[in-house]
Amino acid sequence: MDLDTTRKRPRESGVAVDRLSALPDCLLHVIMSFMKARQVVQTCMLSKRWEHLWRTVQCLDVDHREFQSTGEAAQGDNEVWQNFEDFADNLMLHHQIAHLDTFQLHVNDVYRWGQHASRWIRRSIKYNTKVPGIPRPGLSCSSWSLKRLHLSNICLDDLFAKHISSMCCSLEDLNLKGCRFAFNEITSHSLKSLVIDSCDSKLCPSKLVVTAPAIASLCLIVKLWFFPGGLFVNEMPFLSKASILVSATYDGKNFQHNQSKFLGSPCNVTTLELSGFQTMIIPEEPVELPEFKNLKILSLDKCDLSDNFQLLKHFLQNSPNLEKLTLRLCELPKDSKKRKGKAKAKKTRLVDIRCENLKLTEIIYDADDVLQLVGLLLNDSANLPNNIKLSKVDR
Amino acid sequence: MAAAAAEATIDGGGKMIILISADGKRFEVTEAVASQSQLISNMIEDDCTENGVRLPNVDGDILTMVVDYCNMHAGDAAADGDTTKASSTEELKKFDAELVQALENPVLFKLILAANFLNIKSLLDMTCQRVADMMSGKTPEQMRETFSIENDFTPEEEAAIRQENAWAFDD
Repeated sequence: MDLDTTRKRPRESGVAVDRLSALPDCLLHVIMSFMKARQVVQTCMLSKRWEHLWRTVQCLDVDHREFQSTGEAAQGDNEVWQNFEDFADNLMLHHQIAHLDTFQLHVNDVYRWGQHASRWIRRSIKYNTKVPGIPRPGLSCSSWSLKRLHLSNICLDDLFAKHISSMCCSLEDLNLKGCRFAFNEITSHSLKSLVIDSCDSKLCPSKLVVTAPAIASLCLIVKLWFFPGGLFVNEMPFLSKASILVSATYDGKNFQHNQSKFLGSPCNVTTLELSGFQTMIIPEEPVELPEFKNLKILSLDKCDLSDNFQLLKHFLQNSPNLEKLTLRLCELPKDSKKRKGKAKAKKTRLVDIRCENLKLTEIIYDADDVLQLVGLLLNDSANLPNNIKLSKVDR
Repeated sequence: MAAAAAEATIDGGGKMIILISADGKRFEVTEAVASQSQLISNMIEDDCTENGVRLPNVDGDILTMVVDYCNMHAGDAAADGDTTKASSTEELKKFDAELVQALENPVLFKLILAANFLNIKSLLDMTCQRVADMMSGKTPEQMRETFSIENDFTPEEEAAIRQENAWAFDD
């Protein structure tokens, strides 16, 4: 009896109204979509209103980090993993990834746990495609309704890649971070946004080919030596926003050709951010780059412009609608002595740059000689408005 | 910067429309500002905003906040890909952060309902995120306290649910 009266007090006093529980299920599910999986499940204890709500969420964010605690309660890595593993095993029995709208899975260390974690995905794929006794016309019964899939530090095999190609017909947003690929091609006709960040394909040393013709937004952050066979991106005619950040300390050769091959494809891109690109326009092998007729924002970060600005000139000549240009810590031609000798020859190669809409050029540089670059922008191109913002940083 | 952005939208936003709150307050906004609400955007398309848009579910003080939000965000929706807005993006973030930090029960929940009714996804996400943040890291008992949720389980029921879902709890 006593317990009962304490429970009812808030309502009787009339001060505090539970406006949260009064929201419709769909809005509570939106709120839950911003919470980590364990906390979502724990809401079942709140009240009868909440008891079963978590079972019908559309989004799950299963995160190893939710099981870490700090301070006195901090547990060892293995213990944290075991708790997380038990939780995830149980959760996956209640939820079919296939029926969700958004699924996110993060484990802390791909080398220690990436392989273990991959089984949740694998099992879900296998379990889902085997529906006994139900006839399966085409893909309808076994296809996943997932729209967004974000995986961090998971080992992904050929089964996964094939599944993405054939069963995930609604998948629009695929974000792979720190994953290890054991497949050499991945294809999706529904994908609109793809992120491949700090992944590797060392488990499968032949080249990796990405085919996703409907992509509008692409972000690749790759260390080239993590893709021993190279990373190839097939044509993406609808691409409007691309960020390509590569770092190649040694053996960038495989990507060298591919850089220009890749740059040939995003001709409709409006925003292009390139980082770490090597000199591409090699004299003995002239490469046809297209006109970037929609390009408005171009950012070159740590790119190699020591080819006497051929790459930059190409962009400026072929991007008539460019509005903003950012050059950040790019490698500039260093041989100032040689340059003096070449100065005449250079002047005769005055280029016709027609970026009439260019409103802002930002140059962020460190110790390098930046004058030559400014000179190029101011003198060589009569049409360029001279709104140039220079800032120097310490590397 | 904010003034400049507002001017630009008035120039480019075209017609003005009137929004009328549940308690009869009237707000004059450009179509560009109002059409961040998918509901109103559809009404504009269907040409039924002539005599003002009555919003019987939204109080004047809540609609004030919604209109402020939409005025602030009109620029970034309209000029997607505009290149000279770097600083105004910062400003927007600051505006959003301040707005959302200041939100408390019950205004927070009224704003969620308004954003849902008007179908303004970014505002709905932002306010729902705020609730999720308020729940984050709390035990069920603490969540009940924060949101005045009445525990209507009997002790036996509570124990049974806890048992059934023990895998999601620490012990």
